[in-house]
Amino acid sequence: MNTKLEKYIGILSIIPLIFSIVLGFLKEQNTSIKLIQEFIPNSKNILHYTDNIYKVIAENNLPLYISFASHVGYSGPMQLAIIANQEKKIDTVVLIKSPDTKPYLDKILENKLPNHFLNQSITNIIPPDAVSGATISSNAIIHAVEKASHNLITNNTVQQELAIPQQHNQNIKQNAIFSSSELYKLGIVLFLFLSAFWISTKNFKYNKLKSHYILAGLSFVSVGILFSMQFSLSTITLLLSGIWKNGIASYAPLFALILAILCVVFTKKNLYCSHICPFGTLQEGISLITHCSMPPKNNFIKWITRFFTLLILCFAIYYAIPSYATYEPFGKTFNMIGSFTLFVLSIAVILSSLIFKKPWCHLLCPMTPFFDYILFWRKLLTPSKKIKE
Amino acid sequence: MFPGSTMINSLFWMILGAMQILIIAGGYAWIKHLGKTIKNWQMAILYILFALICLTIGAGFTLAGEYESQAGWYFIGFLGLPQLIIFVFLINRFVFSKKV
Repeated sequence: MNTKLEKYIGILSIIPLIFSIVLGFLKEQNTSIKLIQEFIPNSKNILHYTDNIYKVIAENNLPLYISFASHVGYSGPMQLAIIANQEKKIDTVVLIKSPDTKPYLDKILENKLPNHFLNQSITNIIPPDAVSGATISSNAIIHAVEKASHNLITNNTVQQELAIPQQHNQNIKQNAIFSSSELYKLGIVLFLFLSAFWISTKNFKYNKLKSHYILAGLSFVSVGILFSMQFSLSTITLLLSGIWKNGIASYAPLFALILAILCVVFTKKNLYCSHICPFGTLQEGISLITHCSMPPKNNFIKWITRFFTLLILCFAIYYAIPSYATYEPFGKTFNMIGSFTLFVLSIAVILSSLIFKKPWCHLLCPMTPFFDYILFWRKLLTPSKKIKE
Repeated sequence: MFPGSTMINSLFWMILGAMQILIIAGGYAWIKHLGKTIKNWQMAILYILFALICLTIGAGFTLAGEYESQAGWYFIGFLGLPQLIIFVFLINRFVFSKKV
């Protein structure tokens, strides 16, 4: 394709991205009253007690109290609301927004976790067990309901109206920031990047190929299998939409993404894709069996991947739901996280690795256009000086 | 295999058994055609792997027949894929890496 045309497309591509960030941010504002009107139709006299607590008069002229709360789930805060009646019992639990992947939510809803809270007293919530296989998302819902009921019963106006005795010393789980295991994961990511950088330098004295295999193997075990720290398009969504500020289950993929971007910006080397990515390592290992070569370069595939990456990223950022951007098979390959379609895709990619070297990386991975885009802007903003002999 | 029949079941399994001999003989003929050689114990290992792959596919579709299609596909994917990779690795090792 014409280099000038590529340059113009690259510059213009930032516009839909900026639009989706701004519109997504504007969409988040002032939605509480709209939500109440949605889940309590024909509600009258919506009274605003605090930012998270409202009182409405339902169709049957009985008062209902709504409390909004959120708690950190797997990919960001899980937002919900509880509706309590004048008997101080939970009437409804409304799941407003969840950035977690659909299979987890489906599992939680199949096990009817939110139904456990119905008709429970708001002064004494008995939490259920988390759903096995969706523990983090289940705990987010449980803690959010506890928070919502706590907010309701500690509100002075609600206490008076419902004759709730003064509440003391309630232990409500707050969003944790960094645990010791999280710091350990961040340390591993930093070590891998520093090692990759050292291997890529000219002064590296040892066998580069063997060192690359050792590093790739370590990364495959730690980043891929043990801790599932590989980043993807959903991590980029987390970063650009600002969800990470409200807390996420693990900051390690985000940290890895930031280090990868810094490496590309300062060294022009994509150290993550060449030395660390566990899915790339898996493909490379399998292609060693048949000693196959890379797939032929194809402009059509390159531009289709770029287009879809931009489209999916804009879509996910606008809705601020990172799981909308999950189409890579990384999670399914290492941790069985994802849909059946991703399972089929991961099998297809692994089998294709017997025929082509790293077929996903060279043809379909969204990280390739993402890092290419960063390199494009780096080149545009810091043009290299030509040295005349 | 064929409920309600007397002979067809036995005939089916006799034909299937005979086909295995053809598969192994065909394997030898193919390798000879490529100008390569293979030892008997290597061919035995390759045949066992081939049989395992067939069994895995058969078991997966049996699960599908029992209205557990997703379990069937996961079964084929989880077990069949490593077997296929090992099969390709061994063919590469036993046949193509040798010079005649």
